[in-house]
Amino acid sequence: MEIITYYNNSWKLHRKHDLKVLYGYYIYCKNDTTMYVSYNSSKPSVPPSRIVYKGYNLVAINPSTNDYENYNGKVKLSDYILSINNTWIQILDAGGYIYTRNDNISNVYLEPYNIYWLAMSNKDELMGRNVH
Amino acid sequence: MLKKIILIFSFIFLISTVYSASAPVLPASYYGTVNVEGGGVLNNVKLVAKINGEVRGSIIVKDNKFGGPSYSEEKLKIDGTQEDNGKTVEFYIGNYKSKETVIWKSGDVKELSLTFPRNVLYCKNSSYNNTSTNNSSNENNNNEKTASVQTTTIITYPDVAKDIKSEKIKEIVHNAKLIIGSEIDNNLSAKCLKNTTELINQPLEITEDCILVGGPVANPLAKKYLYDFKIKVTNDYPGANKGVIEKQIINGHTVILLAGSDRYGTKAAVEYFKTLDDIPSEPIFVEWKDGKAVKIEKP
Repeated sequence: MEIITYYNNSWKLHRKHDLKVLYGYYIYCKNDTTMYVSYNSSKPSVPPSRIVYKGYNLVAINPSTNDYENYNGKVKLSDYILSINNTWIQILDAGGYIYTRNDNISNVYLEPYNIYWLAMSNKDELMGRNVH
Repeated sequence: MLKKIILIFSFIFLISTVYSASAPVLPASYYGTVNVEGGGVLNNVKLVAKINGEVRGSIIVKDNKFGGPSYSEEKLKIDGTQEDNGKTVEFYIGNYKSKETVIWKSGDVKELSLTFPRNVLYCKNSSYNNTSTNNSSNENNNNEKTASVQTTTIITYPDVAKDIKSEKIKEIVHNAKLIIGSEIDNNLSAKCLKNTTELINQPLEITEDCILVGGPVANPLAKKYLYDFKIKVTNDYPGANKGVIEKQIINGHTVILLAGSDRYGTKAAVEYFKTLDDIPSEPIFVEWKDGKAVKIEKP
């Protein structure tokens, strides 16, 4: 089994137990299996954020409560990139679709817990949504 | 006008370096075992993976293993691009290449069994500096530090005694021919130093670095070159159960004499030699006492 993420322009093997919100991971398994993921949200905490670097970043989507109430857990791309509005270039999903800053993204939604490649023109801080 | 064109091209180049057209492709990861032909243990040696002669990744081999199948274990990670799919990955330890290769495929996680020639045990890359980023995830570290890792490669010599204290003495013993004059000295002393010895019954010429085990009575070479050494070992000197460790350059070769007035004196010389950090510049007198070798003053 292998867990790998892409951080600061290079692949990193993830050899820890915990996975982090807003980070995308590829998980290699020899056989089909079920993976149980739980949030440790027993205490009030600051909403997540992470550094995203110039170039590609492997990011993930965490929906907020109102995303579930309003969009079945999907997250509006325009909301997702609010904190990096001046530095994001494009976002690619696993199916090969690309949305750029020049596109009309008002009706583009990102799937919860999916991974995306986020291209940045500069280092910035991506603000996440409250952990649901 | 030319300046303008250059500026435009520079601008296009800068834009294109911001991000490439396609997202990064998954690396391939490998773990497994390293085998040495004829047997032998590789520990703390660097296994390097190359594609088209270019180093793409490396990992430290420990007890003939590198990485492991669990996510918590390290792996030999080899980055690549879409164009690398189908290319051959070669594996090296020092200058020695493994018999096996693998075809690079993005996202592969494979167990490998690599075989290296026996000479890999003797490769001389005694140390190296490897400046690299930590292989494990460090997404919490926003300082973007580059870890500096210094690793010392320890070569295991399968033919020399494992209880030799220093790597230098191990290497010396490994590289030198061990010459004995009697099977008794071999069984009692020499084989505790190295498992390959040369038993002689007549004085030969010294043509390479060697270690002579046994005094002039037992070892014809020790007898032949007795007067080249500072201390002349005889049946009476340095005395019962006493021996000497000394070095001389003969015919341009380093010759180490481990000899005693009797067999236990020789054994004391061999056993004490195993505890040294280097070849002594001056003779050392030793004695076999209470079942162990101890250093003594010149008798």
